[in-house]
Amino acid sequence: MNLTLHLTDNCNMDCSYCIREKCPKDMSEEVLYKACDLAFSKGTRAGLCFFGGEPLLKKDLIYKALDYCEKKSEETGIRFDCKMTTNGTLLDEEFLERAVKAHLGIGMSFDGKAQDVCRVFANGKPTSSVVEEKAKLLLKYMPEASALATIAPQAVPFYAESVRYLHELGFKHVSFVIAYGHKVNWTDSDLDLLREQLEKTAVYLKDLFIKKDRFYMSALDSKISDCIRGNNTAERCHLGVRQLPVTPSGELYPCTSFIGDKDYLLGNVFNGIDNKKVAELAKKSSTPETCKGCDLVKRCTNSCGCANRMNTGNENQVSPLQCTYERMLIEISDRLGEELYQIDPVRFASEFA
Amino acid sequence: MKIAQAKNYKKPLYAIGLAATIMAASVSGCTDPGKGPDYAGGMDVRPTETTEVQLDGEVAESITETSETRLEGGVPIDDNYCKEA
Repeated sequence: MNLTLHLTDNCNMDCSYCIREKCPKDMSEEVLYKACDLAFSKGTRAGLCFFGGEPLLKKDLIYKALDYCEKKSEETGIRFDCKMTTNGTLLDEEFLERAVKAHLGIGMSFDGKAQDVCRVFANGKPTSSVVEEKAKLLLKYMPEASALATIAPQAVPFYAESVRYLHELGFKHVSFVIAYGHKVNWTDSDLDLLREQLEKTAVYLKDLFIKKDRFYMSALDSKISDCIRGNNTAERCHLGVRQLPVTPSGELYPCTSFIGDKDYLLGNVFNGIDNKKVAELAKKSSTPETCKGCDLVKRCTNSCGCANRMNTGNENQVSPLQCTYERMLIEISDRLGEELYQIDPVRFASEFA
Repeated sequence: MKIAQAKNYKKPLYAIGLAATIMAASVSGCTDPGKGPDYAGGMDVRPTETTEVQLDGEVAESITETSETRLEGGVPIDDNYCKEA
């Protein structure tokens, strides 16, 4: 099974949209090893994503987890996969050498040209110059590493420019999501500007396609791929199933945004998962009433319990923000997909299907 | 911004044109070998190399893993959960 390990609640940055409360609590080795055992206890493969806070504040725990899980994988024959989401500021060559050896996928939180708008060090200083250098170092060791950008309203004017910048920096995979939660306040004019920026981005992606420069930009590319494959993105919420977060003290929750809400506590690494609660949670999951009857119900993320909870307080209730954003993404990605298909249907199929 | 239901939406031609190709690949067994963990912290991060184009932030992935089944409510559940429940 897959687990997200919150190795620490501490962070060396202070991002304006972050909903996690910073505190000095770190995961103990005891919890770490129990969590690893849990990952290997269910299913045909074991997966860990190192997260925080900032996980690289606890490099020692990452090394221990990798050593332990690699050995366990050899002993059991169960495949082990690992990833990490990091702000990148503490990356160094020694860590990257170990990461390459472990096939650790690294997603670097990096907002591109908007980096200093929202993502600053805990002391308030800008992070862009440090992170740009670390991104180059990361790409030197891992050319397939991903950049993960979170766009808050104040960063929207930099959206298209950031996509271009991250591509030119060398990233082949970037994820752009919009910031949700109580720390951000979206307005209609923000969304109008976001539409303009997405359309500019689509033009850029089209140019890259013509140049045969494969660049994966999740916000638009994933909509195109899912449409071709007939994937029901509305089924992508797997609260308590797909990947459980583990807090520093070892508690298990359905998803990161639920951490701390005892009503959603699903167990702990010492006593295991409360399957009854998982089943109850699954039964509660349903298509939001407002989405039933919508032609796009299977193409949007209306049932993402995490996003819904952050926006409306209810995992089964979609917000006007999410609905508007998803409709915008689908419209622009459909148009982009048609254009790329007309340009070169064979290459389009190989890249998106 | 508002919640608005889309009506009379037409599936794009590119998707219609390629759907048969995808179906053929699925039938012939060229399916996703399974899913590893997602990158935490995002909402539409993709799985990396072995799974699709890449990664996760974790929530925008298709479910094709052989070890996963679905409850009647449409929520994918790992087989082992079902066995132990």
